[in-house]
Parts: sequence; structure tokens; C-alpha cells
Amino acid sequence: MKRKTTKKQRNNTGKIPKTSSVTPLITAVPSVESDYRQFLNKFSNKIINGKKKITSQAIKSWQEPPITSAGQIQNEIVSKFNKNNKLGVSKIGFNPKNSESFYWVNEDGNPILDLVPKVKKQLTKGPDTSIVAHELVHANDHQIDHLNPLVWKNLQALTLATKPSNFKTLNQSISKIQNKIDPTKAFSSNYPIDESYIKPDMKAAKSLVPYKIPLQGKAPDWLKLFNDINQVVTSHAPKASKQYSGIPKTGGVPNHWFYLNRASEFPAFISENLTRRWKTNEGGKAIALSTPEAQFLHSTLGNMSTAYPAADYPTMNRYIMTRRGSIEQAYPGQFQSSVSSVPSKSSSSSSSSSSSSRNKGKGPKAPRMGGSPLSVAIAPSSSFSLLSHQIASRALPSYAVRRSPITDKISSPISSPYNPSTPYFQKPSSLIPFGYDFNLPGQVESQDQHDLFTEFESNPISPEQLKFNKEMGLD
Amino acid sequence: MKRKGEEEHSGMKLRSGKIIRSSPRELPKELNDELETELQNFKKLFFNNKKHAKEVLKIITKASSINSRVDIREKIEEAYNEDESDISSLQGAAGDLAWLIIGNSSFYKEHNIIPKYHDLIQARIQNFDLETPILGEVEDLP
Repeated sequence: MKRKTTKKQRNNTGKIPKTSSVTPLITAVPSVESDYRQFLNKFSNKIINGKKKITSQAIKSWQEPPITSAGQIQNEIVSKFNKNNKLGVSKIGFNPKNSESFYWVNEDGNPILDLVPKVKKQLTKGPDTSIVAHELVHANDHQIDHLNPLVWKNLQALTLATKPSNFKTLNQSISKIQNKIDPTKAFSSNYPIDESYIKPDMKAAKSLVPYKIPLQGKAPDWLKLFNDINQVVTSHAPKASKQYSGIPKTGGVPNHWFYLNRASEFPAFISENLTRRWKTNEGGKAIALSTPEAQFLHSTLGNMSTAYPAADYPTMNRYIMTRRGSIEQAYPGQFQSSVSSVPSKSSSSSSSSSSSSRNKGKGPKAPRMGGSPLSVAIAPSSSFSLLSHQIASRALPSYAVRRSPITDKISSPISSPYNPSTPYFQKPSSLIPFGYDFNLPGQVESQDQHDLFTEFESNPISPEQLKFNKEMGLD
Repeated sequence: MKRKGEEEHSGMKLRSGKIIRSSPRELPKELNDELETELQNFKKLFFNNKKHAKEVLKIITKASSINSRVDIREKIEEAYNEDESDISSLQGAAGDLAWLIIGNSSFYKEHNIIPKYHDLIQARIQNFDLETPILGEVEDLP
């Protein structure tokens, strides 16, 4: 299937432009009237929240995102908001007295973005663009993508795979992932997913009915708990067709905790750190991700690449795909590669005739859809398709030069952080349960579950794909 | 039930009946030990670049929210080449201190301590001795 958007990246001859090590840093430069500035202009002189207004004069003096891949990713996130805003933000505030920027939903169901200046009390310095981008991932999440309900589903799968005996153990696992994404640990220090967070929120979400964590023996019944959470999340999630006033006023719970908080932080923090080195596994088992944890991350990145397709958000998608590739490289045999040139081996299952790499010979398999080589194995019920992952990896941005993610200077393949030898995810052999079955003994994979870590069929690799792999050091 | 640290502060009672609590005078032992451990870890990791370490500590002492992660990351990335350093460990060490000072470190929850020691922690960090070599460390040759 051809997509209009892939044509964007072709030149007049219909060929994908060659990449060159000298090209095009310029293409990554935000324009004078960048999406970021357009976003701010939308709100100039219209501010209701807070005493200070965002004035046109102030916006003029604010700094653009830096001329780096990170800056371009920020601009692409804002661009997505500018193009698709239906529910994302109804009010924006800029209050120098606050200490932190927030995206939140008030009791009337209005989503609000409260910003603070980058430098305390200095309004003309503007907000930090990376923080604005972080908050706008929430806003984008809030309107149409349903990304964080999918993150909840991924978390559910994680609990089914790792079977934590209590919230402390679950949180240790989640913290490990959070620290991998954000080495400063700002993520894990603020967003534990624990009983003290879940229980009151489930209680609030279910209004007057007290919620008790369901137990299976002494351990929480994770399947039931996360099904309950997913039910709350999806039933309270705003619908794209509804405008602000359409959000149900349910005692201050238009899903503003479950939907916006915690799960939404995963894509928000990931987007912030896409161009940065993630924490290595040095230190061994304590910080190395187990296979199910890596699969959680891989799956969440997959959902992100669908929400930010390559054709519209080339820089962001490229980094997402590369990050996914590095996980696949570090856990050989555990993923059916989205970028690898090595076709993966499907295993058969007695319970299903379809194939899926994640179950490696034990569990039920995901059905295969469609006849196209780009088809992906994903549940029909899912509103998501991983198709764009495939397209993303083929669509080569014209400025896809190898650059250091930190300095954005062009670097040699050896110094690239995306070289497969780079130990982001050193394979902790003792942690990889080969043939791991995500299902509990005797349990048949549910439709929901098989949305989760579904991998797609490997496809014949196109020359463009091979070139992309080579560029990114993934071949 | 009183939490640790609660009993050690007296307050000034206003005529209105409102009690203004005085600042705590010392850190609870667990927090004191944790802070010392984090500071020593920071010192060890940043040992080869004391000037930069001072700048990072300055950012940490001014941290008021987790937004400070941006400044911490940028400052560390400014000085360290990721190919040569485990930059994430440096960020982790700086982050541990920053979240301790702003009071949202998981440490507080784990030890049931109310995070109200900002000023004491800030003073400790500001006065931390980065110069004295750590036992067993070797100074860089000129």
C-alpha cells in the first residue's frame, strides 16, 4: 500500500535521495517561524490562567529549539499538536511563580498546560523547549492516539510475564525500566506505579464504590487488576470526536490521573531521551532489563512509532526505530526485527497456526493478517497497526546522516551510539528465559494480550532498508 | 502516628493560635547517611573534573523540581564525551542528590521520613569538600 506521505521523501525522479555525510544539518534546523513558535503564537494574548499573559513581544524573544536532532524532535512533537489539536490543550498558562510545568485536566474537564520560564522569574527566556515538548506528548496522547492505554496494556503484559509477588517487586521492575530511559532517575523518583497510587485512584474512578486490590492467593491478581485499570482508562478516555466540553465531568476524574499520569509518562520521558545514551547494563542483574522488561520498552516504542509516523515526524520516528533496533540487537532471538536484515525464524505452536516470535515455540501465536509483505501480526481489534514501523524504516529522511546524539556532530560509525556493539542492553544471559511463555500455565492468550507484544513477520529487505540499516549501524 | 523527625521540632505559637514551625536543626540519621553516601559517590564519579563537578553541584543546590533534570543533563553533556564516560552514571549520581534535595526521592518513602530538610541538605551540598582526594584515588598527573 502506498502512502501519500512516503512520496514526500522522494525527489522529482521518484527516487529516494541519497544520504550524504555532508548533507543537511540544515534540514534539521527549525524554521524561523517554527512549529514551536506557531504553537506559542496560538496562545499569545489569550491567556486566562495565571496573572501573566504570553505576549507577542515575549514570544519573539523566546529561544527556538536548538539546532540538533533533539531540537528537531521537539519541534516535530509540537508540529503534531499544531496539526491535530482537538482535545490537547484548552488553556495555556505561563506563571513564573510555579516551580514546574504541568499538563493537567481541571474539574471542568479542560486540559491545561501550565508552563514556567526556563530561568526562574525571567519570562523573556521562555519555557524550556524540551519541557514543552514533554508536556505536549501528554497533550498529543490525550487527544487521539490512545498511546497510554496501550502502555497500560504493556504493563499488564509485564506483570503477566514477570508475575511480581507484590507492588514493591512490580515497582522495582518498572523503576529499572524508568532508570534505563532517564538516567537522572527523575522518572522513577516521581512516578512509581504502586498500591498507594492505584488503589485511591481506582476508588475515585469507580466513584463511590471502594476498590480493593484483587488478590490471587497472597499476590495481587495482576490480570484482574490491570483489566480493571484498562477498563477505567478506556471508559474515561476522551474521544477524538469530542471537544473540550464533551469530556464527562465525573467528579474530577476525566481520567486525569490514570490516563494522563504514570503511563503517559513513559512516551513523554522516552521522547525526551531518544537522542541520548540510555543507561547501560553495567552493574549486572540489578539494572539489566529482563526480556519481558525489554519487550515492554520495545512495544511502547512501537506504539510511539505509530503515533509519530516517519512520513510526518521523520527525525523522531528514525530515533524510535533505531532505539527499537538496538533492543532487538541486544536480545537476539527475542524479537522479530523491525530493522534487522536477518529474517527471523517463526516457531510453530500446537494452539495456533499463526506465528509470532515472542512465544518462541511455547505459547499461542498471534494471527497473521493480510497478504501484503508489510502486513503485521496484530489483533484485528486493535486500532493500531505496526505497518508504519515498516514504512518508517524504509522511508529514509534526506538528512539521515550519522550524528552523535549528544553533540549532533557527524561521527564515525564506530563512535555511533547505535552501533550494535554498543551495550545499551547487554544480554544478561541469566535473565533471558528462552522459550518464555507470557501466558500463565494453562491460560489461553486473550485478544487483548496478544495486542501487546505481538511482533510482525519479517519481510524481504529492500535496498533502501539495507541502506538504512547500514547507516544506523544495524546491519 | 508520628513520623521520624517530627518530634524534634518546636514551633512558635502566634496569637492567632497558628503555629509556625521552626526549621529542623539536623537530619535524621538515615537521611544523613544517605546524603553522605550520595555525596561521596558523586565525588568519586566526578573526580577527574572538579571544576565541572562544582558547577553541577551548583545546579543541584538550586533544584526546585524535576524540571532540573534538563539542566543537570545539559551540564554533564557539556563536559563529558559519552564515548569516554558512562555519562548515565554521572547523571544518575547528580539526579540522586537533586531528588534528595527537592524531597521526592523514593528514599523518603522507604524510610518514612517527611521531606522537610531542604535547607539543611542544601547547606551540606554547598559546603561539601570536593577537593580532598578520596582514599585510594590517584590524582591526575599534570
